[in-house]
Amino acid sequence: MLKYLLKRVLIALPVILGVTIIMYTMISLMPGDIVDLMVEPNLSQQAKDQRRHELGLDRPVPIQYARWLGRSVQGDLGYSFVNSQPVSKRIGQRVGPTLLLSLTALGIAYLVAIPVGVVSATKQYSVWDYGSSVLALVGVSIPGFFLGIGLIYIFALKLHVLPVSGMRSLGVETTVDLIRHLVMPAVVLSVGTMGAVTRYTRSSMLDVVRQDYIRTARAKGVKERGVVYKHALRNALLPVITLLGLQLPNLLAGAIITESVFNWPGMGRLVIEAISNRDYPVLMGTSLLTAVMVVAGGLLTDVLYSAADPRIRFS
Amino acid sequence: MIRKRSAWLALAVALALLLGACTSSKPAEPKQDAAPKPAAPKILTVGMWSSPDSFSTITNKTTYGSRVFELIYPSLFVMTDKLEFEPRVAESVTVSDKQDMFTFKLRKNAKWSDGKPITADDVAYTFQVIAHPDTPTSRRNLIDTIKGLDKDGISETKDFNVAGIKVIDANTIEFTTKAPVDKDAFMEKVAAGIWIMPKSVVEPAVKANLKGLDKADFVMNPTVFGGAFRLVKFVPDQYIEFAPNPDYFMGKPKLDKVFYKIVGQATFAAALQAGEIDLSAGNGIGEVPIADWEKVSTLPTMTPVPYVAPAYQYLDFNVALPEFSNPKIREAFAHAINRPLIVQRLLKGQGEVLNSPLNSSNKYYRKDLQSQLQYDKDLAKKMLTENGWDFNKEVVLLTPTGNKVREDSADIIMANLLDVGVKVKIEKVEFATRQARSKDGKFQISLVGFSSTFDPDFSSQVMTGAAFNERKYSSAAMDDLLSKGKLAVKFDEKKAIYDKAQEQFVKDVPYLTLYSVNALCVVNKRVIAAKPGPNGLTWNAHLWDIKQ
Amino acid sequence: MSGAVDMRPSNEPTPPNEPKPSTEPKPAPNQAENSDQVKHNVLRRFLRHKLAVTGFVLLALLVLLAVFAPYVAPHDPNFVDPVSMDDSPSRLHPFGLDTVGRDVLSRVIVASRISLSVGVVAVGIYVIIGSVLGSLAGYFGGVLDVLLTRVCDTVLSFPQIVLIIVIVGVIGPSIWNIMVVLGLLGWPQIFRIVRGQFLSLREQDFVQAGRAMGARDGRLIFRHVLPNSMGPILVAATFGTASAILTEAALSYLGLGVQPPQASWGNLLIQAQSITVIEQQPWLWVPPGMLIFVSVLAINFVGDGLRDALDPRLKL
Repeated sequence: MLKYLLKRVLIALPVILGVTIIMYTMISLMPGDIVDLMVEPNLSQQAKDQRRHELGLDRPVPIQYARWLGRSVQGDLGYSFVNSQPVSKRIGQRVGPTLLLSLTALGIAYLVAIPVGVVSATKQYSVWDYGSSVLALVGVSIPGFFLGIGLIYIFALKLHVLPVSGMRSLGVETTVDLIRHLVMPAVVLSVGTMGAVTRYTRSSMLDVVRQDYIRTARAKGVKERGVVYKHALRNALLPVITLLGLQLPNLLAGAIITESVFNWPGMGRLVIEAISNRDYPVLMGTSLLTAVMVVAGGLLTDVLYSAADPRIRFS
Repeated sequence: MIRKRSAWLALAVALALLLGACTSSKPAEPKQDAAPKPAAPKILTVGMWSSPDSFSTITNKTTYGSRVFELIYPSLFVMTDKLEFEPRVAESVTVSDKQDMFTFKLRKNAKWSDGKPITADDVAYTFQVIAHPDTPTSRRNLIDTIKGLDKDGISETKDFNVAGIKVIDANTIEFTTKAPVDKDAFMEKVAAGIWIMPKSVVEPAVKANLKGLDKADFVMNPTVFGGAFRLVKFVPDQYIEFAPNPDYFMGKPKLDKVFYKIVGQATFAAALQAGEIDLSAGNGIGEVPIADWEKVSTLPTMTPVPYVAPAYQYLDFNVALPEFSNPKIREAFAHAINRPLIVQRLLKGQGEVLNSPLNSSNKYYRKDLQSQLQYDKDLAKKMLTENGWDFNKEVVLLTPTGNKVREDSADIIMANLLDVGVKVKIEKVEFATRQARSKDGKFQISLVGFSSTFDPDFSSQVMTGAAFNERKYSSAAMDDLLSKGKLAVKFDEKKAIYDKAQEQFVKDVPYLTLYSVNALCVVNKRVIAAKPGPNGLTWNAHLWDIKQ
Repeated sequence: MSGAVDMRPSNEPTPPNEPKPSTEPKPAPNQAENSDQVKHNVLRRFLRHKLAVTGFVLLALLVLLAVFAPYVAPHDPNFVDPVSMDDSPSRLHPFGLDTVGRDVLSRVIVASRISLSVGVVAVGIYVIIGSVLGSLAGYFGGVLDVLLTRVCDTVLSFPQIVLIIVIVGVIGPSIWNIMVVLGLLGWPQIFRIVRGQFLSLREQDFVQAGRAMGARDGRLIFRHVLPNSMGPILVAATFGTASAILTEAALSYLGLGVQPPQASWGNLLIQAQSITVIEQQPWLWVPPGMLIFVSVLAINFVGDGLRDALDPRLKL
């Protein structure tokens, strides 16, 4: 097992390298740079060239990349072009709020979706099934920004029960306050996932309950509850786990829209600003971090797979 | 073989995720709200779209930063909401007859928050650091009129020496300019445009690493203050908390706390309506979206304070291309585009059609020129035909994203031009892409905005070879006028020159100024004295108060 | 809402009339006749699924609307009304005018072309790529699997929306670019689902049995294993279509959607960014919002119906 994990990590390195190379290339291909965007327009060409030289933007892209890689390997992700702060610090400030939001949303989504999906499947074509299907579909078919603004309108402006946006009330540091701010963005972010997971669970359960071993279990006289929860569910979870693995990269930068609407101080907004400001170091830093997380997520998915399906063995 | 444990795996995973979420929230919350509350503290909350990039007056890059550091550092003078100059850390200024020497007397009672006096040394040092070629700063264009600096505002001796800055004594500093200057322009850019930082804090950082001054500790974590407020806490993307500076030389501020809350455009109106913010930070950094203006400005809690800022949107022509080299063609485009419709429909009347780079916020503005370049599609068609426009030619309208009104205006402009037979295709690109294309001359016509100071000089846009003249417009008459304008120091003389320059602009249409949109700001009625205006909000911060 | 469409005899997870023994996939003697019959049965089962049929009809109507949009739209969708300053609905403009002064009804109708094709084209591209690669990797395993999984991991290791924004930043926003980018970046999802399905199916009795009986690999994949994965692929594709439509909306929100004056439903819905519009001008956002919702719902019900109809376990 340990050997397998080690092997996987080694295999992952070229993937991460590939990701950073592609990302750096893509970023460099984007027209425009920070000097034209940020520096005073009246500056002479000479002064602009000087600034580009200081930022290393006058070198060929492969060399820029190599320098970035060399520093990153040593743990130095460089400085943001926009505010000159260390990239690691800028990312560090935002990882916490982002994970809080996205993990809460993921938690809500799975906690609601798996039971609903199971009940939907076991009671196929019942009121339950149709009801939850329709709700799941409503969930996935509402654009996030629209749902977000709609919720703000209802809960903050009309009912006055939740704050409009942000992560905390000014100067207030309580958990209750944090949760009040968290509710709407987490719900908005979870709704899409919830719909998808419900459908996957249902679909997967339906596939599984028709398999032979389930019929066998039933024939052997195992009670219906037992059939569903002991035998079927864990096999049905395989595609659901795949889905979970797929959602991991989005934990960090997937909430761009939700974070923008609710002014959540997370990575998504950082990334968006970095793209529009051509802030390469920040963009590369977040890409690297995401790539590492995804590789870790892939490992986790495999481990969960093997836990759910003992027939899958590591080799 | 099948065990309960694994059958519940899904729930366990979900639960673990949720628990993970809960624990990750804990470290950030020391329980402080048990502290005894003083009777109704006076707290003012300003809404701003984005976080400041830094609190350093030297290395700052964005308006979000500069509008905030104004609270914690002093300037010699400030520009009031009436665009007059009011003394701050300087108590008076003496201008020489030739208008090439400005002597400022500093207040004797002015102190930094660490107890040291604010002296002429601090003032001189701030300017000298900005002038040093190694300093990462974008503020040199404000000081380039001072003697001893080159046209980019860099010290001619490539060091801290600036011939035109002289410390007479601890409370007196003297600025000499390269040539006589317009007093108002100098006061706006130098006296009310540069905020003074404490030499005792900046000097060690300068000595340690001048090139990396933008990474110094005081940039994000200032500890010594000289303005009306001191920075208590900055939580990026959330808020900035300020407390009054009890030793402020204009008197202790009346408020107990000021917050700048970061609120995006989508929820800005909602935050105002819900009372989460009291006022908008101002032009370009915190405004009510036009779509919500009618609703927000009529809220019973709000006083609308829209104002005209020195900024405008324009349609750029690539004059270097043969099809736009003829001023008559550019004029025809001006007649073809229904600018009043843009102002009425998209701006809901909150703006003005503009025929030159100077709008009604500028004292050199020529209102009478507004009767020129009227919307007249028949005339436009006639002029296009007479001047040999190729009606089969497709023109690409380069439109940057990020400003909804501007994007919408592209649709109207396109429809208007199609109406007179000009084939147009809109190409919407990111703002940075537009900047790059414009710089490289890879465009035909393009939309963009421009904001300036109150000085009427628009030479950077249209003078031959000027830094921002990306359209490659060149006119000997215009060059002559604007060169003279730069040297003019008296109002009447200057007025005569800029009157002619504006006429020349309307005649040549180097680019078509479309409209100038009002800064849509509101203030909660419970707020006293604070009011966003053409030159910001902070100039009278020590007088801000809350009605009890 | 379900009583009326409940045409199945039972709420039980497995229909009691389920007839097949576990060694079902025996090679049938008469291939052609059998496949005709299969098609017939698929169609029959699909038609019994009333929600699916409703979805299909709705979808067909939307497609017709899209195809004939220029003839259906009452006005030129790009015509800017220079006179009327009143945006609210009137007899001439049933959905009112947008901020620029264009007829909203016409724009919504014409937008259906863009929105539907974004979903269909993008998902079409990635379902094909994903299924083919996923089948190959999952079935054959070994070096091929490792290689394809690496490629998949690389694509997946990007924050998707970030990569989309960056690529669109490079090649410029346009509806075709967005379709292709979504298509080229979406396949790993299908790849992993198909491959995951294979990992568990590969070991199952009927596949093993087929192999033991000397069935060729290609035959096994297409006759037995792929149909087994059809359910998850279809569910993924339906959600994918929906999410492609929504991704376009999200890109519109970020200013990177269609090129003006083109309209898409997402692009029309971003009008609802303003609290005032939500509250006072429902005609601006309800029509595009409803169309997004209805089309997604219809697509999903069709997928659901197809899934049940194609399920090999229910065959014959």
